[in-house]
Amino acid sequence: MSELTRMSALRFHHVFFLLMLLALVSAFTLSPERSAKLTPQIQTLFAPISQPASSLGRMIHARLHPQKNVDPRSTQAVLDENESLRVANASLMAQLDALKVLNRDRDLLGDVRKLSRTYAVTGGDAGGRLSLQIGGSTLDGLKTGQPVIFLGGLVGRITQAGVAGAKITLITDPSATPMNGTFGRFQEGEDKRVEFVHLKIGKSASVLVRGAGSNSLVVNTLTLDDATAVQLGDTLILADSDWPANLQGYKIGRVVSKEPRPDSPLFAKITIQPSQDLKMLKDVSVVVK
Amino acid sequence: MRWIVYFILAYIAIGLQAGLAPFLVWNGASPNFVLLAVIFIAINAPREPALLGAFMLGMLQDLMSTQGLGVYAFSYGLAAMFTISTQEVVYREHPLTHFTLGLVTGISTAVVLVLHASAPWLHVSAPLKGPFISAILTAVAAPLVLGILQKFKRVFAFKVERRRY
Repeated sequence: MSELTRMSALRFHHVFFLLMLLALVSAFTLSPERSAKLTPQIQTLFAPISQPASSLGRMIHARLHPQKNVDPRSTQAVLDENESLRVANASLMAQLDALKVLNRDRDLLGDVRKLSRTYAVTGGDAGGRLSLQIGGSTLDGLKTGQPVIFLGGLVGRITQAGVAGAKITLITDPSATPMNGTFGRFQEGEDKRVEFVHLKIGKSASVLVRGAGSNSLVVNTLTLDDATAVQLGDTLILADSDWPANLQGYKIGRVVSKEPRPDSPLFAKITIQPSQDLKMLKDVSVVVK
Repeated sequence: MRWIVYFILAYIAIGLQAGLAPFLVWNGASPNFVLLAVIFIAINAPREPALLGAFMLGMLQDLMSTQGLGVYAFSYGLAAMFTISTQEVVYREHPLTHFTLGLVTGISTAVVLVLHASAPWLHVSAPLKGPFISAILTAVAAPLVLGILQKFKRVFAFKVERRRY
């Protein structure tokens, strides 16, 4: 009896050693993107626990840390700007409709929200990275690489999609692919209409922005001279050909700080913050078309 | 060990980690509920089920995160090996034991995560201090969470290993 027990214990130790070795090899040879292709997506299975826990956490967080308004403009200025933008939007939509008739190949252009599908967030990342889990699946047409947005701007991209869930890597995650954007500012024009003005910075108008964690992104490739044009409150919008055409110009966030880079004082470190904490989002829209 | 109860614990721990932990953030890190479940299993269960249970918890956490596959499975395997080796020399019910195990296993997990994040060929960049802060938060939460779990250990029907080799 004891011999059998010892044999089974020895066999178990061999199996466990093999499992540990496989885990070690997998962890240190497969990139997260590659291992994502090999693993099943099971987020939806945990939704009965993670979704209520998420709602509870969101509620407690909202009570303890009410979101600060980083917009320096008055409420009246925002209302005026909204009104003006509505008018401009209506005009542009009408022009766009006319253009669509002329060019059927570009019929995907337009209000990106009409091309997207909304999903509830079922939880965050179980491993401390900046990602969200949503209830959608490949059965709904979700695919890896699809962009994700919310009313306040870009959220990220789907990095893993399966039959029982999908994961979104947030644009604020340091391991998210950096993207190009351009700075702009809402200004009152000569005709008293508020318009969005693109800022010309250095030789190229676009800048490289990457996730910096803690719900922020950072631009650190501009010299201090080039960065003088950028002010606190300016908006960074997407200008990256790796993202779909209908998302070009979509808001990434606002400038919340500008300072010399500690490791390279001749360059500026410009911190961008999305209009909401992306980890706290209740639902998001996936651009599926 | 009753495996059905183990799976319920795993389900709740992973669900809480995905749902609640992102909101319990301090200095960019949050406590690791799954690691606390690993410690609970490893401190009470016989060697083989404990090792297997810890490894499976890590594998499930790998599936629920955007880390590479195997990172948590390997980390929790190591954490369980350490915890099991202390079974005979620690007082399992004492909060100081829970705190110390939370800290040591948290740090060993943090070391694996940092090594993983530092591997240049994996192109994973993550703040290096986050896992260590998470280890401290996990250690702080350990006396409370493990104290509650210890009250339910009869449900798991852990048996003390009595084998003569």
